[in-house]
Amino acid sequence: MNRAALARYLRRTALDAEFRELARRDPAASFAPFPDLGEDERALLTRQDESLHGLLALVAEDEASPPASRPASPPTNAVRSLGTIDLFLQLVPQPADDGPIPHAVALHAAPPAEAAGACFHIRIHPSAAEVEGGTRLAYTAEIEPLAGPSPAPAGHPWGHRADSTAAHAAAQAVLAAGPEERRQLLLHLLEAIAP
Amino acid sequence: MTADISIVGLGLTGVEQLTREAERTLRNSREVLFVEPAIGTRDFLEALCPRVTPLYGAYEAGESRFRAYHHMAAAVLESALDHGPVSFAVPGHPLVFVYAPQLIRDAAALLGLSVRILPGVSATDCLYAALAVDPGARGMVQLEATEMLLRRRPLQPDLPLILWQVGSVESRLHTRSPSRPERLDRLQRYLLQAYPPDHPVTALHVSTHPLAPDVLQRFPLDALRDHAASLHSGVTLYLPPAFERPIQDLELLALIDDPAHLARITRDDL
Repeated sequence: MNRAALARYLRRTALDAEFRELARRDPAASFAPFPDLGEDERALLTRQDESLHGLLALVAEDEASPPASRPASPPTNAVRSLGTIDLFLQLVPQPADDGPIPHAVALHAAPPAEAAGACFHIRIHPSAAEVEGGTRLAYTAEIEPLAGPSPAPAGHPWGHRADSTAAHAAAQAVLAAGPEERRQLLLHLLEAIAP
Repeated sequence: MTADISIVGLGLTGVEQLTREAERTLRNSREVLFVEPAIGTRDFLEALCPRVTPLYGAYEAGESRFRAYHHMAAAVLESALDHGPVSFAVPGHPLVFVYAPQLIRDAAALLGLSVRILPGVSATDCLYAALAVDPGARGMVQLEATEMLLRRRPLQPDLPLILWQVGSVESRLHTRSPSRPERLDRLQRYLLQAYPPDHPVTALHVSTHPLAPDVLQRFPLDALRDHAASLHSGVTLYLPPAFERPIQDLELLALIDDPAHLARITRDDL
């Protein structure tokens, strides 16, 4: 099978309406500019039935190129993710006669065993970029109330949290960043919107 | 006014279904990023815009499709921040079973970027044409297969049902491997709670090339699992109603052709 010839033929029939009409009306005549098309392909292209989808899949596979090669950043500017730091902020309200309620504040490395007061899960995402003169560290963070497992109906496998504090903070980090850090920070932003 | 990001639906059958509005927008973009092109789409886009970037390599076998959507969205947002206006071109309609545009819209709002959605011919539109179905006749239910199973969405067998993403049911991970019959067991059991075993099912794959016809498979519901291998992610299922729901509101029925009733519910100040 000559896939290159097949791809050229299919591209032309997709893009050139006049040629496509010729291919429908008189397939044999439409093969004239493509002498290297094999007999099997000519038979399939003449039938123009569902079996064409196999050929289309082959050509589409050939046309698929590697992931978008963004303007390659020089290696020295590569942004490296440094994993995630998890912290747990616990606020326990204290007795007060009136006025603002004081809180006992504690920061934990793991969810506190004692479920007193309110607890928040803070996820910090550090990243490092090699820039002229050294390494620059950047941080973005998300904060969410820590609760027990939410009931299944509340979750949404395709859900968004575009209005969360974490998403707003991540967006600010993107806007403050230089071009070399932007892609990684955009991914953090999207993670905050749709984990 | 040109938006920072235009999200453009290309239609499904090559570029034959592209609107003139979409073509003009693509022409005015500094960069066009695109996914899952039909044959010839890339050549077409390159004729409109000097900078054309494919993103379809973002999918990786065994990885969450959502990871791919994040990478697509990040690439589009990065380009818009750097040298907008840009376009993100997707097959079909940009908000019909394409998730990256939703991410882009939400993130762009936080980044102060404007977004415009340009509709395209969707698989739903093609399905209406291929099966000669009018969703306005009695309404229609459209469900995503995995979501329906997760939430055990109530079925309404008196209405036509379009069931999306049957080929990728039960997993959010990307694969190009054909499904085994077992993949459809749960779905088949679920549908059989509301439909009889011999209820007709039509599976439609809309052709992406103008020379190739759409692929239609028809089979009874209890044979769904036997067609697993050919029900890939581009296939949509259609189930016609199993019965006609009788009219319940006879008082309203008497009014819908009554001129006096129309006069009562409309203003006369035209």
